[in-house]
Amino acid sequence: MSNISKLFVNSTKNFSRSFSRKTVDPSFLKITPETKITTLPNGIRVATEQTYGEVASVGVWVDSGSVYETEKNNGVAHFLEHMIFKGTAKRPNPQSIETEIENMGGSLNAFTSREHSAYYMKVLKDNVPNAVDILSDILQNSKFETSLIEQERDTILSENDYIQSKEDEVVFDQLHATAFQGSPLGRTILGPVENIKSITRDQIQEFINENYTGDRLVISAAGAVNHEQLVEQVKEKFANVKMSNVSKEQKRSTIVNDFVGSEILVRDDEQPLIHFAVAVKALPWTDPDYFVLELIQTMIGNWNRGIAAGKNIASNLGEIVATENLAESYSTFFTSYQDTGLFGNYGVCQPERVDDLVAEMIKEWQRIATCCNKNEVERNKQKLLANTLMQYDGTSKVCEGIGRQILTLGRRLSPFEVYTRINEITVADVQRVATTLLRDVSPAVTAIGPLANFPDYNFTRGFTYWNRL
Amino acid sequence: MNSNILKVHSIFKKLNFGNNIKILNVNQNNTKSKNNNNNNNNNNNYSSFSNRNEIGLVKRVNKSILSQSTISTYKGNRLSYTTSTNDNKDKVEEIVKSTTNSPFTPINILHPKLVGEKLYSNENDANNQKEFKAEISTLPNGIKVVSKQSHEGVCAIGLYINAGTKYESSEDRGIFNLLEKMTFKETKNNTTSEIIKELEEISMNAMASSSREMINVSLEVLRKDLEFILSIFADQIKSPKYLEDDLKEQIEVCIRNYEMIINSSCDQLMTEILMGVAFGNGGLGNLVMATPEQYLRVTREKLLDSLRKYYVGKNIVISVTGAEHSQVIELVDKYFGDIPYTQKDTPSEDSIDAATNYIGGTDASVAGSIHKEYLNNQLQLLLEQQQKLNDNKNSNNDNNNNNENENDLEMIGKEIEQMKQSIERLEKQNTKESSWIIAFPHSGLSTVAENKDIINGLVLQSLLGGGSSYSTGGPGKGMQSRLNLNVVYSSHHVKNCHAFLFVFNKASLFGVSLTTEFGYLQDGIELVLQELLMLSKTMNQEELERAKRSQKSQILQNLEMRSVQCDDMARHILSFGSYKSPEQICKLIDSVTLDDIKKLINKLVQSNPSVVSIVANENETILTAEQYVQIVKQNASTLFK
Repeated sequence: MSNISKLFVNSTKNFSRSFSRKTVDPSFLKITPETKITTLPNGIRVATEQTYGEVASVGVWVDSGSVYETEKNNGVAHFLEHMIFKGTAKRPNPQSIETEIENMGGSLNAFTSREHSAYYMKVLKDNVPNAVDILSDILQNSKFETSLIEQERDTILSENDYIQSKEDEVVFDQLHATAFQGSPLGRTILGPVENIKSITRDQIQEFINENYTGDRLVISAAGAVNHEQLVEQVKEKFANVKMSNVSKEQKRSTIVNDFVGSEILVRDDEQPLIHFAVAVKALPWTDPDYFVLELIQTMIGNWNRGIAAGKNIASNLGEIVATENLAESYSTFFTSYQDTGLFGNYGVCQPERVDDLVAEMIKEWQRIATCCNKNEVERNKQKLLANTLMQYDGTSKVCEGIGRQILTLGRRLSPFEVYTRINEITVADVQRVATTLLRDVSPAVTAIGPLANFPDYNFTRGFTYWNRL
Repeated sequence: MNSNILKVHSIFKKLNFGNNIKILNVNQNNTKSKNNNNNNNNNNNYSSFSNRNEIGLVKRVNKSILSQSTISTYKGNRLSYTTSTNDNKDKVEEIVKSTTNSPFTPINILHPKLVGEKLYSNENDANNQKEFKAEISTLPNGIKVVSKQSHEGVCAIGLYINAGTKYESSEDRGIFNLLEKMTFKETKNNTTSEIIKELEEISMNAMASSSREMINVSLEVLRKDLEFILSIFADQIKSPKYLEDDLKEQIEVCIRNYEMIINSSCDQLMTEILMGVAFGNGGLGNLVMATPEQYLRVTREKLLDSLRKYYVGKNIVISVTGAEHSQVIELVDKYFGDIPYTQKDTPSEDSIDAATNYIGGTDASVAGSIHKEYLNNQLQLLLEQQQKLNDNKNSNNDNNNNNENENDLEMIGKEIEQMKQSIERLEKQNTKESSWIIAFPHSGLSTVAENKDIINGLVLQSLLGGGSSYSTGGPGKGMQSRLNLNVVYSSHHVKNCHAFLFVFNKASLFGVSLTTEFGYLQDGIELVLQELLMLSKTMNQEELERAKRSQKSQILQNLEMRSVQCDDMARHILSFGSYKSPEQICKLIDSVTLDDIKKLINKLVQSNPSVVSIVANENETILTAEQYVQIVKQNASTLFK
């Protein structure tokens, strides 16, 4: 069955296409305004993309997340993110911050990931100075009152309960725990319950002092902002932020994350469906082949029962999964970190189809490594380019894109460079990268649900050097 | 043989695992062996190029009933390149940072080909200085084209048709929902698979939707693909095939949607019922979804006929962001120029609107009752079918036929069994929440051209605001709004409470929705009434200013998204023929005074409301429209002096 459907796929793909479009001049990609970057004496980098309009997004992006924690204070970065809204000397309580922001029609939000923390505001254009003022105040002068810390524990614990009830969150936490066991990336962002219950004010204060230093802060803005004015405001408001005495590179080079091919299975026969992930070690942010792996990610694709395309999906794996009814959904993920990364497939399926689904996924990796064709690579390059450039919709997304790129790459990729880098990828590059990363490797595997039929680790491992496609 | 001592790392203890955990470790290069025989002691960060798999010890730990946990170690295959330079054998250098031997430059360095090249165009600076305005043109055949230039290389493109369930007569209910579902299907020029694959490759957020007053198809692409997309859209409405098989499949999809909506006590069901209560049967009161029987009556011919009648020049608006207006006009003319202005039998919107009147009233039901009724009807049909087959069996002696009959009987038997089970399950279902909506009639969007009724309504909506007991996100979600502070925060039995404004061309509904734990609905309603009826006495300038600012910023923030911008322009044109820019709308919002809002709320609360409720069970007390009117009348002297 699977072989027949695959023959069919290949034949339709090589069919002459009824749509033919002439190659286009990519110079239209240069119309996006340039991102201006200024580094202040205390190391803070200010980056703006001015697109005018009525609204501006301003955010502070910090090179700090759970990766900088230890076993003892795991969860403190996230706890800090919660406590930072709770009051400063000038704005004594949470309500005063809320009212001030709502009175100007703005919004304030934050998140913490394994490597980054971000605090960002969206305001009308004349409120940009207020936004800088609020952000600088909460980041430098938060009081972290002990009574409020006690109150916040419950909020974080219920957030933890919520995350534990989400299968995908659990699977990805498990995946990190197994793939990066013994390394900082293996720990969760929220931290273990006993830490949430015991983190102290001193720990929070120590963490912010140590990590929120000038060289690790990026202030990014997009929309109705003027770069020069913003730089002046940041200079004034963030004047008290110190440069760290250890350089950023030095600090981070002591944190090493080793990938370990391994497996965690949590069997629960009460669940109707299996949720699982199969991942291999992938590339860090700056890797020259970053876009090649993103292209491979696009080629393997995503599918779920809801999508309108159904069986007509362009990806080979998607079509197999749809026609043979292998899964409820699957997705391909590629997560980069500063020194490593994770690449793989996440799937949700009926217990009796799981072995076929895992096999088809890894077979697809092998197919791309050995015999993907030019037509398919070119189509997916188009798609990757479109997806990469179209994701920046609205000032918040642009602001986030700037913040993340400055933190991870130290610079901003222009749309034209993205085009240049995607455009130069060849079939040989795809096969080279897929062969190195996806062939004959020990993956990290994790799953929850009714796992009686889940393939044995050696079976999964074996498929990574399977030659009969 | 590698004899690593195994330990389950302490991380695992912190994840909430039960007993049935299986952990397997494949340790890759635990001991960092070196195959360089030189003495590079201070360089032991480099690991060797080894690609062997040695199976280590297998050890049993943590015996559980369901799975035997095994832990084994491998020596794995980490790839990393090391080399020693010829002239200095003691020094080991990493030549390629990447593990994949890449010919490319790392991402943190500018691409060498682009060094010295201009990455941002010259005209950019000049362009940047001006704000772009929306431009509108009408083609000779009546098609309206609206576009707005932008600062990005991406366009949002939408095709909007002035048609929808409002226009459906009782005989052809479900037509527009199916027309929507048949979008991106095979045409005389392209197959479904070709269309879908092509769109998947170049576009984002491709979607079709149908509602009471509008059908639209929209998506986002890079600028280079604008022409191609317009040609695809034109192909869709000029030469669809509407294959019988596709239609059958989509009718099933619609029926499944119908079952899903009546099955859940979701907001969508409540608002659908509300529209019926407010506007009666027909016109705006038509539900967006039709019933399964109505869907089954839709034929290919009916679809083609509606397409011919409604998809005419005067009903079409094409909206684009991120392109030059002149280019858009040229392209639209090229692909849509041959569509006629109108057909003889195209219904006029005015006649439909004239027949639509606000009614008001109450609809109260117990959670699940609608679904139960539906299932019981289905069960009845199946039982009838079974009866028929049984009769056939008894009267027919032909062997072949009998076999088929047997099979059918068996199938139906199974279905009946399943149906009975679902009914049973539904009866056991224990809903713990009760919901209630009250809504008042208000002016429609088309009045924006003349007065600021709708603007006042928007400000009032933000002023009342709302929230839910499990809040998400930080400040900026209306935490300081009235309904959040005085209803959600004041009783922890209230699950959520929001003010809403449903806007249509000629009418709109302003109201408040409330969900509480079972048994506390009445308390919640009292709190809501307090807010609604006392608002004009208690509101102050500060909260009005906050509401105005928050409404403005919401509108402006939404319009940042290209798809919303595209949609917004089209809606304005469909509704009142011109476009009010965000600046104009914001000016109108600025001009709203305390007096405006007081007048509006007093007018609203004294009108005849529409009330919908779905309660957990019969014991829950609700407030009906009639009771509400009574309360207002009794207190009129004190409330509206």
